[in-house]
Amino acid sequence: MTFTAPLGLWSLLAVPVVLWLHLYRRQLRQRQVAALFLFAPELLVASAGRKRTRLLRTASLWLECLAAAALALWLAGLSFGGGDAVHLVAVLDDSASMAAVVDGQSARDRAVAALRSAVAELPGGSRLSLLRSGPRPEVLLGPQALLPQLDDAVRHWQPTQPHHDLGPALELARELAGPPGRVLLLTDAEVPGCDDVDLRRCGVAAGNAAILSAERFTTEQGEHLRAEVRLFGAAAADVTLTLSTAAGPLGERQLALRGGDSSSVDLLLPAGTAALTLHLDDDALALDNVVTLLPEPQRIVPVGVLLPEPLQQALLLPRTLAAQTGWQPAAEAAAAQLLFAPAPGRVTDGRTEVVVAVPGQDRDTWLSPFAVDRSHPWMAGITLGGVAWSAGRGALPGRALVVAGGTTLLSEELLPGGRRLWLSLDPSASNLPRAPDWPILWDNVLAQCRRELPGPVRSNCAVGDEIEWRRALGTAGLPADLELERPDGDKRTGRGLRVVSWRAEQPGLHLVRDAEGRELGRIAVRFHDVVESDLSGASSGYQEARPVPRTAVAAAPDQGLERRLLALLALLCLLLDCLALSRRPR
Amino acid sequence: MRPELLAAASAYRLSGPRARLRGRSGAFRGSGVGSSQEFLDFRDYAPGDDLRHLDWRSYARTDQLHVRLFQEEVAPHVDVLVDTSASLQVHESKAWALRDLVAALLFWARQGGSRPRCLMLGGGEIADVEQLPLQGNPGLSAPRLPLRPRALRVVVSDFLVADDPGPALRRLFAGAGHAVALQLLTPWELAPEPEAAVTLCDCESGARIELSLDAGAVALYQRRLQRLCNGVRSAVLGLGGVMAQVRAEAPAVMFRRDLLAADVVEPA
Repeated sequence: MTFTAPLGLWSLLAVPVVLWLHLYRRQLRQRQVAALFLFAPELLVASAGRKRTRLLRTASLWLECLAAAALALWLAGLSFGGGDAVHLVAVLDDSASMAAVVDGQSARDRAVAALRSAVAELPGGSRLSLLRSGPRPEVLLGPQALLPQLDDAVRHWQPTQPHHDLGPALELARELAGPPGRVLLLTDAEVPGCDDVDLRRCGVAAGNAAILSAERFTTEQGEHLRAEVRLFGAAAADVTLTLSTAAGPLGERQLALRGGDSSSVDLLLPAGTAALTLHLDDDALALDNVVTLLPEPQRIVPVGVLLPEPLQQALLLPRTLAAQTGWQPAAEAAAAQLLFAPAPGRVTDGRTEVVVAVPGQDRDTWLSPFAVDRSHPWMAGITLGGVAWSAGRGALPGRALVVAGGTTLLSEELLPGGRRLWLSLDPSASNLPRAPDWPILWDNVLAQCRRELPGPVRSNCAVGDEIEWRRALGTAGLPADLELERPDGDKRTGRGLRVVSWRAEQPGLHLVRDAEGRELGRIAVRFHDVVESDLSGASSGYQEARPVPRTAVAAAPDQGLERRLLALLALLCLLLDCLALSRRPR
Repeated sequence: MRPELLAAASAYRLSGPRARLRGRSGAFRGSGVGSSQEFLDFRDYAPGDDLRHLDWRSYARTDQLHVRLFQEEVAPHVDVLVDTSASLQVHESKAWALRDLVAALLFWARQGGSRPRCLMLGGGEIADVEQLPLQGNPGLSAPRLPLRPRALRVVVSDFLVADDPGPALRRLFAGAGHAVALQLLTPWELAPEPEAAVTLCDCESGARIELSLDAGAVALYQRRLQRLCNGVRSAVLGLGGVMAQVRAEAPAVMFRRDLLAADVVEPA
């Protein structure tokens, strides 16, 4: 209970003034009666004409006293705390450097402690909103939540994001706070251009070694690992890079680095190496010390051929396919992802069916040039120069990809369960199978089929990237029912239809599970960010917001709910008093 | 008299008293044998009796002379004792009602052959009712002039006195042939309207009180008034008289509703 203008309490003297007026100035209606003793003999007084009259406890008296008291309290600025309450919007820098531990305490811990201290100093009735910075700022608490909810909100907060602009979070905070609110930014380094917010820096400069990059790639010799390690800040240090798999350690490298130096490591991995973990010695920032690399999934397209043998030979199909990689003969036609068939069949599970329609007598032979839809992936690199194409006159269904005159020679038909490639070609009267475009065409088709194999788009990605999982073509219309289990055990439902995606927020192994909880695959997320790994710029301190000139209205103290209620009460009392006086008989 | 008052009063006359009155020959039964038309008794003829009263039918049957005795009819003395204290003019309607009531009583007395007197309580005789002085002595004091015995004595007052009215009424009605007490009250005095805070001023003493005349105060006042009226009624009835509570309104209303109902007057 506070009085912002205690001198206003002098106006409480209005209450005795009202009483005085009722005592001395009250002019009641006079009535002559013949038997005064019948009314109130005990109240009879001997003489008339006195100045002071008996105080009557009428409704008017009470209403006027109440109105005077309410107005006095209104002037005095009575408040039960609501008038001084503020809305504090705190922005937590969610960048990974906030997780750096120096002297046994992380910047994150110091920021939380500073936030608790700031909240403890807030007057009663204040509200708190808590934001986490990032490319897409996230509200951790609030808006305008109660102060005791702070602990629950920050308990599980662990900064892991790569370097990002704090501007979006600050803009959101300013919007939430409004003109009378207060914005507090908790970070670990200088932030230029935010003079209008309270800045609490909780960082401590330190040296740090980080794995800046790591990748697995395949050469003729086999699978390689290439990694780059850099030492930030410290003068010089010996860093040990340890490689291990689930089966055991693969080895380690001693790196003698000076401050700011980088060192690359190139290793030939043993064949069949599964998940590979790179680990640096513990230092201030643990996030950039560990990288897990998964082997990229093998994408082998099962190919089935139902064409008659003479047609296969005429199309040079065995030789053409033999020149391609990333495919294998399917054990049976139903298991083929790419199926060559003489007639259309049932297409399911995202399969691509190639229907070779050999024309009969009703046909034409076309010479190049042809109209080619180069926007289609199948047509990438296709020129059809010097090609003679003998095709039937009948129209092909679907999207025309190669057209000669008014005749469609090649088309794509999209089906609910997959797609179909229509090829109208008489190989005996055409030189297309011997043209350079022929293997290019099937390489494109195989690549398209390979991309459409269900599974992770990439097995390794970085924090901040999108984790993508491609579903089978036939399941594109179904709701996204895949879940990503993060290293902390939290599960997130993906978004998207054909390609389900999640935002990678934590380093480590992520599991993709279906609706029944079965594991479909794994994706490794690593952290690498040069800016965040460099802790040399971290600092601590407090910078109060620059006073912003406010308008007179904005600078006025908050009237508060109590003052509005008092004003309303006084007005109501006066109205009722007028009503009571007007209804008094004359 | 005002034409309105005369018209209203002409419809009534004073009711006959239960006690025997004394006065000139008139319309009321006297205390002895008289010459009225109302048969009283038989007795043997005695020389000097009025032969007109011989009962010839009885003589034919019994061969004895009997005379028929008739009730004496008198025109009684009527003394109207008027309370002229200030409380009777607390409201204009009450003062007018008092004048109308006194004038009607005198009118009815004269119509009955009486020679009425109008006396002021605590004062002398009132010559002109229209000029009724209403600044007389408070209370129920006896007039300064002696009251006539066995007369029809009517006291007109509001009887709003703080003391017990019994002793005063006994003094006023002592020796009266018939006692009539008319308590004149205004409608507001009978049933005040609840109202807000008001200053009540006693018209006689000047005392004043301020109070909120709410429903509770009105109820308390009415209980006290009822107790006072019951005291007056008991005193009058104890003296063998008649008591009527008259609401100060138009004469015709007062006569029909209050006086006729209380058997103070009867249709003419």
